[in-house]
Amino acid sequence: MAENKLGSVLKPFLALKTLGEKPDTIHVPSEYREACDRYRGFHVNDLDKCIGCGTCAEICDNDAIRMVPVVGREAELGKTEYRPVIDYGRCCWCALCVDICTTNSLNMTREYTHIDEETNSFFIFPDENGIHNKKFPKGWQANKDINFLDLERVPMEALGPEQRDSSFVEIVKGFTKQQAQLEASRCVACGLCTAACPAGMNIPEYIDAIWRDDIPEAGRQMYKTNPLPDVCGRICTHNCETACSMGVRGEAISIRWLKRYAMDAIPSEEYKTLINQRVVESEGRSIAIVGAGPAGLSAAYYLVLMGYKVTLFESYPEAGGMMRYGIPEYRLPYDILDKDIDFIISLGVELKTNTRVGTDVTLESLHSSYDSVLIATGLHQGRSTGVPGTDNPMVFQSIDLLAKITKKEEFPVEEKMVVIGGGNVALDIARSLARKQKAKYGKVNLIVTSLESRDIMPADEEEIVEGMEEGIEFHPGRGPEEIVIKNNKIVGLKTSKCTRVFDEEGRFSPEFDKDDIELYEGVMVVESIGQAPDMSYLGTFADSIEYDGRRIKVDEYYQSSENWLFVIGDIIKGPDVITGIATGHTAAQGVDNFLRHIEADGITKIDDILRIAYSYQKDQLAQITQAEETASGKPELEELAGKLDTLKNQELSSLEILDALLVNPDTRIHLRQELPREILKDDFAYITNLESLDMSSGDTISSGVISRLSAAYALYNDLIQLTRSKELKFSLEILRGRNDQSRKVFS
Amino acid sequence: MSELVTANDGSSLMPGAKSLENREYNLFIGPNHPGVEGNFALKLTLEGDTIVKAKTEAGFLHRGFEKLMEERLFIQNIAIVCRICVPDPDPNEENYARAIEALADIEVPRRAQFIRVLVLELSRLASHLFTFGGHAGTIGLYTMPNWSISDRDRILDLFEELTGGRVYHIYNMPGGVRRDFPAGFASRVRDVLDYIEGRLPDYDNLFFNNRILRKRAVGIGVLPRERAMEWGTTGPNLRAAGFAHDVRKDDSYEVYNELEFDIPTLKDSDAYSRLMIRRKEVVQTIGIIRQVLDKIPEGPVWNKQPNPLKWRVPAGDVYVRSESSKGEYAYYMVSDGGVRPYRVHVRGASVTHGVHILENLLVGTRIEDASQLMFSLDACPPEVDR
Ligand SMILES: Cc1cc2nc3c(=O)[nH]c(=O)nc-3n(C[C@H](O)[C@H](O)[C@H](O)COP(=O)(O)OP(=O)(O)OC[C@H]3O[C@@H](n4cnc5c(N)ncnc54)[C@H](O)[C@@H]3O)c2cc1C
Ligand code: SF4
Ligand code: SF4
Repeated sequence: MAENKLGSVLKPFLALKTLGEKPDTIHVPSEYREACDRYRGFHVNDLDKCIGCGTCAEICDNDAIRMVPVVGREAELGKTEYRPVIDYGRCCWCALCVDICTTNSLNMTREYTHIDEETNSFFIFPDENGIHNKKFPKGWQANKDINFLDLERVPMEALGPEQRDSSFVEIVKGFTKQQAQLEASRCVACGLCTAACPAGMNIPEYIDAIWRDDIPEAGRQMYKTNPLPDVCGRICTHNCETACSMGVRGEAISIRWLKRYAMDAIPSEEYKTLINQRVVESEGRSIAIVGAGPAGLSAAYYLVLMGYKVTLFESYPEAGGMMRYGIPEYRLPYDILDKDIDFIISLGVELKTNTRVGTDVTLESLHSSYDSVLIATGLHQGRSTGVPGTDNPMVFQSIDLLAKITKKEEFPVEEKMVVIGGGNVALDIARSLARKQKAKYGKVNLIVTSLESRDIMPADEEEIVEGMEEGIEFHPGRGPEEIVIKNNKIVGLKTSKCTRVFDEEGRFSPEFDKDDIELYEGVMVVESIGQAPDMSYLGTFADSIEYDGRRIKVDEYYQSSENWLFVIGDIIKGPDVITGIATGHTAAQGVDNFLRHIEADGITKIDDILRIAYSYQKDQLAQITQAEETASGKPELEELAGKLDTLKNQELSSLEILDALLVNPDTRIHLRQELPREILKDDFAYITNLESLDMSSGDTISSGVISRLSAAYALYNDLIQLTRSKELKFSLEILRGRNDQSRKVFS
Repeated sequence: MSELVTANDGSSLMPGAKSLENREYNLFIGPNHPGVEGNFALKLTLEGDTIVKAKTEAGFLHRGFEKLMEERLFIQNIAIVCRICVPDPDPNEENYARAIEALADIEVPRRAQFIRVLVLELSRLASHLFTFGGHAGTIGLYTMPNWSISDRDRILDLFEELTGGRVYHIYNMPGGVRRDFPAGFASRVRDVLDYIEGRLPDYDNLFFNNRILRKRAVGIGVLPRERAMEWGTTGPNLRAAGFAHDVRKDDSYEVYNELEFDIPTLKDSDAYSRLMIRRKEVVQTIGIIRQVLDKIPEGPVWNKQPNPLKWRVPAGDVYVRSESSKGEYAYYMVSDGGVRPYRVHVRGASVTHGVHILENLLVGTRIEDASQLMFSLDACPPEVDR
């Protein structure tokens, strides 16, 4: 290389040899350079595949992604109406968004030039065709080997068929702490679950708390909208998991088992301290709730926390409704149910069991002795197929038998039995009876028939599979014709082939092939084709109340046309525990509104009042700030400044509370519980002074947020007056003058 | 120019003023000037043409990387760290990933370790080619930058193919790398290596043996051998002063200890030897990359890490270092067990070389050599401005 220490003068001219060569550079735009296969160019998004979960926006390190609601797209189960929009002024093309996208809908293309003077044109809404609608080939794409998300569930241990088939011991074992934290760490906190949950539970929040091992916080989050979390942690129908964005490419988060884990981790004696629910001072008004199922219990919980005197009337010996007398113990152990119920009762709810409204006490009398009545009586009348033979004493209703099992009452368990029905209730009775058979005869001989064929059987798949494992024989797609009876004894169930269950419009309209007949042998038949309400207790109200079809007509707060009467749970909106809980929660707010004379329109609506309080509050805060500015740096006004400061902090915290109440009216009740006692006293004095508000009687809305403010207002109004007064100005002038003098002295 | 040149007594020195001789005056160069790969200013005090005092001024590129990192999830920082050194971003990515791997006890698949070495060495190669062009530019030899920078583009093409990005690769991730080789990639890497190797004689003719370069660079900015250690010199600059130090050997990381390579040294420690040591390293690096391609095993390239949105790194602190094209590079990371780093400190070579050493070496140098001297130290302003 270094042949000459001085270096060469001529050799550099050898470069001239390249003169004729084609240059490496290209001429844009006449020449185009194709980017390579995994180029990270502009984004494209398959808008139908995208579920609007916002995980891309969550991971973006530059805040370049904003989720915007898209016209024409509706939120549905597992999808929002939002889609990502990208600001190329911020994007650094890192493709983290692509690698984490829960659906793989978001990708990048090989398109990389965009030239425009209009800055807004760099803010794009990626669709399938790319920024310039040119359908460029894809560049950087999701890769199945390099996947940011944890697509697989932490497996849940459960008893095998041989360990469970003759006992009512709980099947699912539950997570350990490590398992739960691992499972919780899979969550991307998109909130699709919350949107899908009938009660709108704060799921990402409690999952996050579990992940952080803050179990009390997980419990608190649950109790905000669901006072039966132990129960739901076991038997909830978990719409949340159907909606979970992790389920698109992998397995949904085991939300239900996580809930169970957290609640199991809190001993019942610690509920009161951990859940930290304050019961506010009694309002002196009393509420009757008929039926202590999930709906009634939920309403009772939220009402008692709001300070009402609540009495639950229950016809059964124990509270719980279908959770106790329907759902079998192997799915929901009684002690778990008791844990939830005991806590609710411990808050001061009065429970009157063995009291049937309609016979032991009339609805009329409840109406006269209580300020408001909620009915939550559920569906407790089994529906019959009505085929010949159903009047035989060996034909039973599943509902009745399940209740007998709970009550430990005797009933016949035969060696051969047939269950009619393909839903979860049919499976519950079938699997319960199978256990009884196994215990009594050492083997299972039980047939389940349903109109629906196997693929459309409404029962959960795992129920069917586990039922099979336990020895149950399934004959789906068969319609009952007749219960064949010889010498007063049942021989079996005659069925025909069911050729369709629903018509073209999806209405229930079964058709049968009467040539295809089969007899299923059995000496006992259990019907499980649905339940109906028994609302005979309505008495004369049955005529005066308004109906919507066959159901009682209610508004969004489940208030009926008899405004003192609220209707919740299965009798108005089913079909599961969590829906019952949600109706109870909403109705509790409705009752509160009703009893506070808050009507749905006009200024008296609580949200309007909150809003007025809020703007008033902000106004006051601005004035304090102004006063503070005036006072700052003036030694004479030090004391005043100090007072202003305290005041300001008070104001700020009140504002925060108001803000939270306004932002999320659904959690209003909950927030009200969290407010300190003293501010819950009726004190709307300052609001009544507001010209815009015309509060009539002394029986004003007692929203406690307000009273602490009013005391504060009095104080700072004085101070503000003071700062504005001549006197103060005068002293300020003196002050300034003195400063000027001292400056002169020093200079 | 006239406003920029002031005599130290405050009087203005118009160009051509007779009293210029023997008087000190200040000259500001930058923040845009040919001596750096980014914005960076020098405030020089001159006596005649000779620099008597030099003060560097950083801050034009300050984006607060270290602070930003404390506000971002561990995964998000992989898109930030590369920006700390534009011409040689990969040591940042690799160090950042390796720091987390050390804290969280994460194993990196062997294939990924080989790929990381490949990426680091390609980055070194690209950075050196960049330096050649830059250095030539500072002394008015403008063909060399055209050549070396367009040759560097071939490496960027490889990066584009492998990582999806040309300049910022965002490719190293705790647990490995983000994607495996695309089909046929290894052979295209070999082609580019062969090509660059074949270009070296052309470079020699055009540049390294060019009499102008020799006359301009030899004896310029001598970094005294006995001061080199004391001043904290590292990397090629240290090796040009005769010390055979190289983190890849002294404190091997990834799979460097499975690869064979010598550490070239030179003695003169001037601008020319600093340039020539980099030329030698081009050969060394090509050798290393070829070995990587020969030895790279099959297997996964990433060891799955938890959901990045809920990823806590165990509490602790760690110092990891590597050999970048500029010198010794290191990350000091503290985790408090949360989802974001508690603190990340980046130790780059550029503060040492581009601030302290440069300020020392500039004294006594003539004004026309200032830019060249600066480039020969190969400091990177964004890395000074962390
Ligand atoms: C076998 C079975 C299994 C089920 N499994 C699940 C499941 O796994 N997950 C799920 O989410 N849902 C399940 N459900 C549905 C769920 O149990 C109900 O949707 C839910 O219990 C309805 O709540 P509710 O409060 O409206 O009524 P209920 O739970 O039915 O409670 C009504 C209560 O009112 C009482 N009552 C009725 N009339 C009177 C009266 N006149 N006076 C006083 N008290 C009265 C009843 O005794 C009862 O205690 C199941 C239902 C059944 C039948
Ligand atoms: S590529 Fe990176 S910076 Fe750009 S939108 Fe996606 S995550 Fe954000
Ligand atoms: S992560 Fe994917 S699915 Fe979710 S909003 Fe973003 S692009 Fe849509």
